[in-house]
Amino acid sequence: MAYGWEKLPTQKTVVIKNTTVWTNESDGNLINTDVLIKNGKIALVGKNINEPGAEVIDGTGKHLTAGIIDEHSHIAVSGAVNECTQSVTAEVRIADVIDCEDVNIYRQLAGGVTSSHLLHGSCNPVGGQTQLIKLRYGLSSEELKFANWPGFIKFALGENVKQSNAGDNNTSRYPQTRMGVEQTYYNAFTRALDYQKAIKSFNALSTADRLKAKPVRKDLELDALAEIINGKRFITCHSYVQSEINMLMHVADSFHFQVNTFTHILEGYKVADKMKAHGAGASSFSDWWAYKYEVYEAIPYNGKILHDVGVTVAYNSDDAEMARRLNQEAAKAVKYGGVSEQEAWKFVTLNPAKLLHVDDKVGSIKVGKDADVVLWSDNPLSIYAKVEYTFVDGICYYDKETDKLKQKAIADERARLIQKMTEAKNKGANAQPPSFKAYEEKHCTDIEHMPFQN
Amino acid sequence: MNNKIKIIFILLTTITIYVAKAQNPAPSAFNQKSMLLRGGIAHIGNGTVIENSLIGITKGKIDFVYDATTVKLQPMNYDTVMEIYGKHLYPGLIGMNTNLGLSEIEAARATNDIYETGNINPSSRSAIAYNTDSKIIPTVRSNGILIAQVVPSGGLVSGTSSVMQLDAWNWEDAVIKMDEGLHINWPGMRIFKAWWAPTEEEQKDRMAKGLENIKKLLRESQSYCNEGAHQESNLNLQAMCGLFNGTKKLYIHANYVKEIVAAVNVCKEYKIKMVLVGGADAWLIPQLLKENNIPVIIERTQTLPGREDDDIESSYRLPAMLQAAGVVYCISDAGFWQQRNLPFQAGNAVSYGITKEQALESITLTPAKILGIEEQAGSLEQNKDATLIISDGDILDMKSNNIIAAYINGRKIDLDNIQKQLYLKYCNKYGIKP
Repeated sequence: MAYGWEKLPTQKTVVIKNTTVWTNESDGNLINTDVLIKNGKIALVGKNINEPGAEVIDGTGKHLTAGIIDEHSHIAVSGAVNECTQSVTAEVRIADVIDCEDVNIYRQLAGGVTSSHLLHGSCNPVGGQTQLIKLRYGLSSEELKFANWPGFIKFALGENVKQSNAGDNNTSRYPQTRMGVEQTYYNAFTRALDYQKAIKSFNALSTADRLKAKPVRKDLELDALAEIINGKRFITCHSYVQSEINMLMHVADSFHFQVNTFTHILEGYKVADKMKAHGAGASSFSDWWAYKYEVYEAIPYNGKILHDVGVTVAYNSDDAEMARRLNQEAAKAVKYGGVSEQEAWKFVTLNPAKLLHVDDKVGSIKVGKDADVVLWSDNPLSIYAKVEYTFVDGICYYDKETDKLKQKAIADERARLIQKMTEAKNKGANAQPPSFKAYEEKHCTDIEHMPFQN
Repeated sequence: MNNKIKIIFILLTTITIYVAKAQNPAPSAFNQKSMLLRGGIAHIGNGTVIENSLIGITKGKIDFVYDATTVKLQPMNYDTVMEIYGKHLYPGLIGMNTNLGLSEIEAARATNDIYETGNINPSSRSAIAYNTDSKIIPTVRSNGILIAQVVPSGGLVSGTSSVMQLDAWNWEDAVIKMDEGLHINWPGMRIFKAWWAPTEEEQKDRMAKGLENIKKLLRESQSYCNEGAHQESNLNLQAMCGLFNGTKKLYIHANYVKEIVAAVNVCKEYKIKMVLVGGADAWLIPQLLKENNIPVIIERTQTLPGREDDDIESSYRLPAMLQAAGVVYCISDAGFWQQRNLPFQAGNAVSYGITKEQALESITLTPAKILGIEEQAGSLEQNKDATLIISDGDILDMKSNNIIAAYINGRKIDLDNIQKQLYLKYCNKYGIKP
């Protein structure tokens, strides 16, 4: 495994000295400040911290922030991300297909990411149950899972679910219009209510009557939908244009739940007031547009408007490359619309933590929170900033010196293998031309190997 | 003495009032007047910086670029004097290898003129399909990209590219250099394995056919171009002639060593001026590229490494590796709407081993040289076109990139675009401050 560990890194007690701390709290940015990391938590933030036995990192001239949280990611998922066989597949779970060996976990640690929300694609209105992970590179799939997290589900609206760009052979699966998308949801949630009612009636029967009655067949799809209605599972919904955003909020209102997050949400700026009133958050691209008709009125000022209206705004990646420079995407909120630097920084840290209901554990530098922190060489919003250390739970999973050692180990291993092959070939062993394993980058609309779409 | 001097102080914000519009701004007219830009930090584009500059412009050309601390001038001689102390001046950026103007909405087929059908289309010309009314173009130039190499894509031989300036009524006004290069997508020469991959035999067959098609095309077109007259004319072969007489360049899109080496050898055989586009592996064979004077257009720095065990920063470091090896390179961005991020593709390389001025050169003077328009564009130098931008801060960093004025041939460009219009429309709706 490339960039793997000979020996897993361990939790340490560390003091980062004399640095600029972006707290994301009411303290704002603290200069010449020390931060103590102990037992995987942020133990102390202050001046002149001396902790016996602690490892000391000199943070002079550098910036310490909370780790980046990517609200919309498709890394570390084995196989495909879409279950397109039905329009509602609420029962399928990313949790069952986490690929802990994806090298993108390591690459993104090098970009300061500490948590990623792994989602299904967007080929159907209800895609499946998502999984929030921490980037504990080297641990097992099960160990990557973010503990004590309520559970989310991916929804999708618009062109992808109505197969607008799926070619002439895909014009009969329901829904093919936004009208059909709405009815798909009403239908699904009505079925879930009926199911719940049936279970309730069955459970209300006396023991004797139960023996005579037909029990309700367990339905994993309806269980998940019922959890949404009961406020136990939260939606992140792929969405673009204002009509559909509005529509889903009406669906939610009529079943008395809230849409937690609209993801992509490039026309959120047109219904910012309605989203605010409903209580929905926004997880947007910073500046993408023009890749399909429904994003033709997307604007890079989306984040600024939503933020100013009072909606919680995150910027996400949906892209394994962009995820490793989400700090730069946050800076685009400064460029387009002049969001303040500290507020823009929250777009990729505290705000996604809020949207994912984990802001009590991560997303800011506050005593008692998880030590998921990043030390940057420069202001993290600058294109010139590089990550020097990334900690998850107080464990250093990336630092540039160790990365150099890993690269050397890979180079040595490659040289050793080439040497062996050359020797074997010279001794007359069978040779074959080299081949390579193509890496499959995953995006929202991937069904088979398809051109890039989101 | 000119008594109609106007002194203009640049406003800090470019967006002031909201006026409902649904059109691209009108291209600006030829500017007869003279102008003096005083006090700007001039990033020349050739690696040098003048901290306090004086730049004179007359009839769309740069008269001079001076250091204001050593040269004194009489501003009265200019129709307009612009005080831009503390602002940054740059040559207009050049977007290489882009489909800008050939597509409006990627997934909407009717808006696409990028991919011609058939495999070999040397005579297809991007310039005539370039849509000056694209709503994308104003969003790109308001980030400082003022010139673009507009390139068709797809197939083995995609067609012919032209160089356009981004403020025009139609493609005729837009053209700076017509039909300057031909684009070949070199067939993949590595066998790859994936669940969607064709069989090894199919891959080998496709590779062999692709290579044979390229060689056949070159062989036949060379013979055709050597003949004085033809009984039967062939427009595709005719379009290749510029390669053999040196008036056209051959842009070969390839990323891996095997493909690059094969492409270089073919171009050597036919004495063709080659430019490598992509070149992810170029750092492995710098000597070959240097010896054969082959410049590289780095497709994007912001991309994932090609192999699982590559240096995780390999694409960020590529410019520095080529710089150190003495290979000529420039940096581009993929697609069309993405062009507005061109300065950041270059800026991203700065922390990985090149200087800011080298990064700037890779999106200004070097592209101009590759395109053969360096006599008129690519840097802030005497006698060149006054095609330049003014920014509040460093344009290579999104945190400080804010273009407050742009000029193409001395014509002041309207920096408005559909996105700014929508922004103001909705700020107005909610009563928030833009």
